Amino acid sequence: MKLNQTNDKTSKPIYEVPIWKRLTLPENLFPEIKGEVIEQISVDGNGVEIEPYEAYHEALFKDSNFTKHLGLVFGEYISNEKNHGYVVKSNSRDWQSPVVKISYHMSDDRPVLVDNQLIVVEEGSKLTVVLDYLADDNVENSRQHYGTTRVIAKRGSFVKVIKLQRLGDADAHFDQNFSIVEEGAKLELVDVQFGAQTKAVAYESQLLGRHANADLQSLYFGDKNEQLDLSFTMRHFGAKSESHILSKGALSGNSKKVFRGNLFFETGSVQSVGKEKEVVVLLNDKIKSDSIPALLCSEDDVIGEHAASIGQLDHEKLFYLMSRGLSLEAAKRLVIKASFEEVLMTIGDDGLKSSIEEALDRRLSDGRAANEAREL
Amino acid sequence: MANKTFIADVDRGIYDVINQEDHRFVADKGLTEDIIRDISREKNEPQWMLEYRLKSLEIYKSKPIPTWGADLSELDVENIVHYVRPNTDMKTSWDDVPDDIKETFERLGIPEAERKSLAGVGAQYDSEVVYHSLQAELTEQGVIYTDMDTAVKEYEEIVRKYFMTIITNRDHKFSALHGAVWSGGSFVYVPAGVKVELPLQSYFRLNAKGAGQFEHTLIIVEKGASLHFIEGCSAPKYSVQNLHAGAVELFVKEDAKLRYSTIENWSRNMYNLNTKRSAVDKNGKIEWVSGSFGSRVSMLYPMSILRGEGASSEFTGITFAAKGQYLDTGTKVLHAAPNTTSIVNSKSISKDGGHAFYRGLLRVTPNATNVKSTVNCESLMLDNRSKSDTVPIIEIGNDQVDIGHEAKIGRISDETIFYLMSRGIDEAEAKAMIVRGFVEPITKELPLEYAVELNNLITLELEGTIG
Repeated sequence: MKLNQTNDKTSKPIYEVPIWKRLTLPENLFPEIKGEVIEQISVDGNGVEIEPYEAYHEALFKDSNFTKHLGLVFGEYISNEKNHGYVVKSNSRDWQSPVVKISYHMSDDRPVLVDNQLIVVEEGSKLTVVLDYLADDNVENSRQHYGTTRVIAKRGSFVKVIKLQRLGDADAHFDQNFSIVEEGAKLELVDVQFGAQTKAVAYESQLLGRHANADLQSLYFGDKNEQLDLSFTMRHFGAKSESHILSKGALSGNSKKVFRGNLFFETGSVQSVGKEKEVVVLLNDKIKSDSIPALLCSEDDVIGEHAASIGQLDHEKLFYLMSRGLSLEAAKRLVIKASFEEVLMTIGDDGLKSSIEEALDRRLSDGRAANEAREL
Repeated sequence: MANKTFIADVDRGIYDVINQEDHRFVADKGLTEDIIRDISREKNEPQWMLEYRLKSLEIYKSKPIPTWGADLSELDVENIVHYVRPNTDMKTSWDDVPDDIKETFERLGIPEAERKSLAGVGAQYDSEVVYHSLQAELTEQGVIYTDMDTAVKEYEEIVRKYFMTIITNRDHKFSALHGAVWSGGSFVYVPAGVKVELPLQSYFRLNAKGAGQFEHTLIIVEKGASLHFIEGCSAPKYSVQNLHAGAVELFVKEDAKLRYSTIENWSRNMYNLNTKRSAVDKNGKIEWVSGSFGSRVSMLYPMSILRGEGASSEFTGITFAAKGQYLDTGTKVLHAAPNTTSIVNSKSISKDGGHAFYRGLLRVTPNATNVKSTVNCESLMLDNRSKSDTVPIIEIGNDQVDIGHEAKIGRISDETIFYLMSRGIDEAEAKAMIVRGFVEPITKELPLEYAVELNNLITLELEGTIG
């Protein structure tokens, strides 16, 4: 994972595609950027300032303090080659959190998106940000998204970041997220992965202050030959800080998933609580599911837990639903949807939720078609 | 903040007795082809073994020192004398064993243990087996229990078929080193259908300064047979780095059952880089009971290869890391056949700056359907100078599986102590009860004398003011 910089300052740096142990990265990564993709931005609420992300904003946030990311090459590429991104600041004290929605739509003529986002929520303020990554359907060429999102949740603030990835079957999605959570602040992260051939996401949240709270919920559906690498890290520094990770997913087709959940309890994080849980439903015998949960603890007065449950759908549940007249496939879909509901209900926005459910339905019926083809 | 529970170090006492060195043959420091030839000649080994040793040496020299896990930079492998034979030949009667060696063993309680209930004792002093006996009854049943050096000569066919087949000299640097310089160890062969009622026991011991211990244990349990084998380790404390790179190969055949118990209590300067693997055939069962207490650095991951349909494995382990110790332990389970099951229960305690690391792997191959497995890891930290890490990796290759995993890290909760105290138990006893309860799943798996030893090893002392 080395970055080769040519001596000639005018020429572009060369980004070497790294070799990952568990996923095979496509060779055509780090393309040259041609134009901007279609974007939409909307703000609902008061007290929000938005400006384009510029190079000088990098000084506001030190990426180097974060160790669990996609790798240095990705970091360099994202900060050097960016073509999109905003700095969103909130000092809203309204009872309801203002909502900023940013959506990017990639197409054949604009296939590459590189975004840098910085979200700063002032003391005692609130903000919800939705980042939606979309691409045209039914296109053979690969679209690629690379992005870094940085979040600063100042004292007593509330921040919610929802990330939706609904790219096409041949696309790639690389997304890293760094968050700082100060005293008494609460950070909620929701990550939904419903598309793309190759996708890798990394989240690292540092709970710096007392009573800092971070919550991460992840949802994914893997199908066909999709490859998915999820890395969720919570690093406790502050006393009495609390973190939760919940990852729910289903794997079908020949899909492959790697889950990495890291809970760090640094010295001084007394009476902190960190919990992570992974639930995977396996729907096809060609899948591959790797889980690497890690608890790394340097403080005794803490509670750290992780749990994983990997297996098929509960046969009794399916039997019950089928005895009520549902077909096997319909019963499976219902059970999976019910299981995903736990994460979906935290999204809050009904319009968004139903559009995610639609995407899920489409994915599940794709799966059905594949299953039927296999049985024939 | 709440008071900290203080738990005393394992009382090493009698284990740190050092005897005067007296050896007839001490190989030169450093590892060369000549030394390997010397070792082999001294042992009167067959040609194929010498060739295997030389091949291993070549691989050893080409492999790098592993960089993951423990810091091995202080380990000076070249300066460890790999072969030290004590000044005694094989003995069949206890009375003939030289006094100073006997004294050490007596302090470790071996003859008593034998008198009581054990079927046989093969005790290793330095690199050579010095004392060995097996009850006549077992011999009648056709059970072979001898040291590896003898086995290579007397049971050459069996040894040649199994030796270094599930652990090979190509696996890693220390398995290559083992292949080159292995010496001593136990060989057990249980014929089909024979159930060995009493546990077989072997005690290893390191004495010479700077000497490595490279014993090879080979156990074959044939169809329908069963065995319980106990391995215990202890070494006197020295200032020179010591290395233990043994190998344990266990073959559990169809419908057979093997329980392999270990209490490792090496002195605090030992690098314990041991490799243990077992291959389990159809409906066979392997049970590992593993306690890691001593050593400065341990990297130990007993592996169960479930290659026959319906095979199962059970791993129960405890690790106690005190001051200056880095104990990187865990287990690997490979489900390579349908209907295989496994259970992993691991507990670790870290105190006084000790670092306990659980590293595990559970792999299900694409053809291994209907696999059931549960993995449980619990860690107890007794202060915040210590470290405790847990990384259990799970790799699933098909959908017909049912995998459950749980891990917990924490300290003794105040609520629990409060509850016990409200029932009239004083604080010290309450904490002691909780720690004993924590290790109980392990102690109950051990034979009585080992359970008693374990309880003695963990003595509780309490600190802090109440109220």
